[in-house]
Amino acid sequence: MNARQGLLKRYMALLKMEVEQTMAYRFSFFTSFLAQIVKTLVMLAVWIAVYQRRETVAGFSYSMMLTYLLISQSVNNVYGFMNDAERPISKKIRQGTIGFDLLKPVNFVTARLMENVGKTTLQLIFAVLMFLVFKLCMPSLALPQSPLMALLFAVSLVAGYLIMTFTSLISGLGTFWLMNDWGLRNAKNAIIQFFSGALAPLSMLPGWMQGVMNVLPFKGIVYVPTMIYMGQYDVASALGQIAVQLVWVVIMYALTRLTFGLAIKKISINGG
Amino acid sequence: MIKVQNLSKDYVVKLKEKGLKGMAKSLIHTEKKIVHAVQNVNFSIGEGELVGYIGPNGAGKSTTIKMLCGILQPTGGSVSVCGITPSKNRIQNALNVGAVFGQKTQLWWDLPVRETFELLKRMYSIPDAVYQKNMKDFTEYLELTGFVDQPVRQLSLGQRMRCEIAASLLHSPKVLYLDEPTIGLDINVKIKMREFIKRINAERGVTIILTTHDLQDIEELAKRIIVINHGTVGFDGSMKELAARYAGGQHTVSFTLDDEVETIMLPEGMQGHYSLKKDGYHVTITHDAALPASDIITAVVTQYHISDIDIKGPQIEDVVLEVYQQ
Repeated sequence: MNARQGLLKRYMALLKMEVEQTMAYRFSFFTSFLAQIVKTLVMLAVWIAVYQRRETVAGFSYSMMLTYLLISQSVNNVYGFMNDAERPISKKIRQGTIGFDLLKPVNFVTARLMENVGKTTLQLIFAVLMFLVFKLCMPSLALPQSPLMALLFAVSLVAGYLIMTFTSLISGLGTFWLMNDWGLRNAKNAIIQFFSGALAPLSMLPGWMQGVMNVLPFKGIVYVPTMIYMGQYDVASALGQIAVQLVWVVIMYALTRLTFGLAIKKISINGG
Repeated sequence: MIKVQNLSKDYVVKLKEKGLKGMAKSLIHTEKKIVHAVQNVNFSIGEGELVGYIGPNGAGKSTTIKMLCGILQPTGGSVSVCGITPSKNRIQNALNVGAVFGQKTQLWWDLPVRETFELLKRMYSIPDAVYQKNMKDFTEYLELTGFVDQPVRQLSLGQRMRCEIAASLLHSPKVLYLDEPTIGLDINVKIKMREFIKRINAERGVTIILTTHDLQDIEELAKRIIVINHGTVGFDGSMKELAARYAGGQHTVSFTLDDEVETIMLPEGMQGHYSLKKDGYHVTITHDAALPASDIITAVVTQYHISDIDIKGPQIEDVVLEVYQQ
């Protein structure tokens, strides 16, 4: 067994633990799943009311809007019911148990990412389930136009997940400086919910705001994968959007490593 | 094995004024103060040594241990463990050392202990044979049977601490840091832990640094003691040397007399070597090492009727207290 395989095994072990840990909280897991369905229903109800009086909103027809809402909500669910890759880190920093993580023979950032992938695996299953339930109730819900588009959607989804998770990890590491994670986490969640397109299609926003979106990484989190799913981009521009996402993945990863490097130099481990 | 040179660590502490006004003010500006948690600490520890690292609360014990672990960056000086600098080469260091922090847990709270053991096996790439041997030994020595399949949150502190120390040793580290491993444990579990620590030190040659507030731990386990106080090393040597250095005036002989007497008279020659305290029938004579307890007893029993005698040598508590109070 070579060293690389050995390392991969270490990370896979963490992934498996996180799956088991999440399943240990069955009640919490199912209730947050249920809450997510309710949230989606509420959003649908609002938009159905809006479309009672008009045919299209900002170029989105009624059925397009329903598809956008359901896909963007499903994508959001894959990333996490509470979008909280930072919460375990913050908790460990505040309690001082982060020392044990730093004492393991693995790369800290990769290890935390793999733990989150473990949690996300279960969320993916539930997001697909939720989508299928809605598809049964609403047969008009669109599927990807071609296998190629489905593939591009999957790639874009993974890229969006990585942008999202690295953003959360940076915010989690911020606890080393602030010793409080609540403010940072809420600010981050508010920004991401709005600027990622999880609440409404970004193309509805005024032009200057879209300009802001285009220089931020967050539209790659929900908006881009959802629009690819809906076939709103042709193959060439879909590939272009994915390329931009991947650039952001690299940048956010580098920033996470940088933040960790700075953190470990100046951190203090709480408690005696 | 472990070499610490001129090690220092400063913390910046934010001071907040009291009350609502102070809190409001602290939103804009906080006073800062630098605390020298560890200053110019030097020691070196050989392979297979078991060293007690003691000191009062806030002396800098845990801060030193964290720097030895490589999870805290020193402000100054250097640390070398098994030839590498822990904070620079975190991953390599992790394979060489194990750690138990008595106030914290590294076990996964909601899963059975066994799951954490299995995770550690994969995380450290422990070969099957080594893992099975270690699990068998630790299960036997620490009596782990019966609760390794229970979620950690349901374990008693004693059960959990036994699992913590087993977890820290699964990858057969060369160095083990035990930061207050016996805190809050009942005497039964404490004895088990001590026997276990002694055993792995003797059988496996694991180099151990032990911090504790239980001096019984130190007396039974550590051949060498390092005392740290106000961030600096106050003593480094054997238990005997420590006792000898601070032995003056620590011996006492107590008598319970049959009858109450006005004064106790001791021979002229003993003057200056003892002090005397009388409380009704009870007399306590504190004397230095130059005056043997037997002389005092002879002098007293020939003059007075006594019903009880109690002789005490230097108490480790007193000795350590004296070092702490310096």
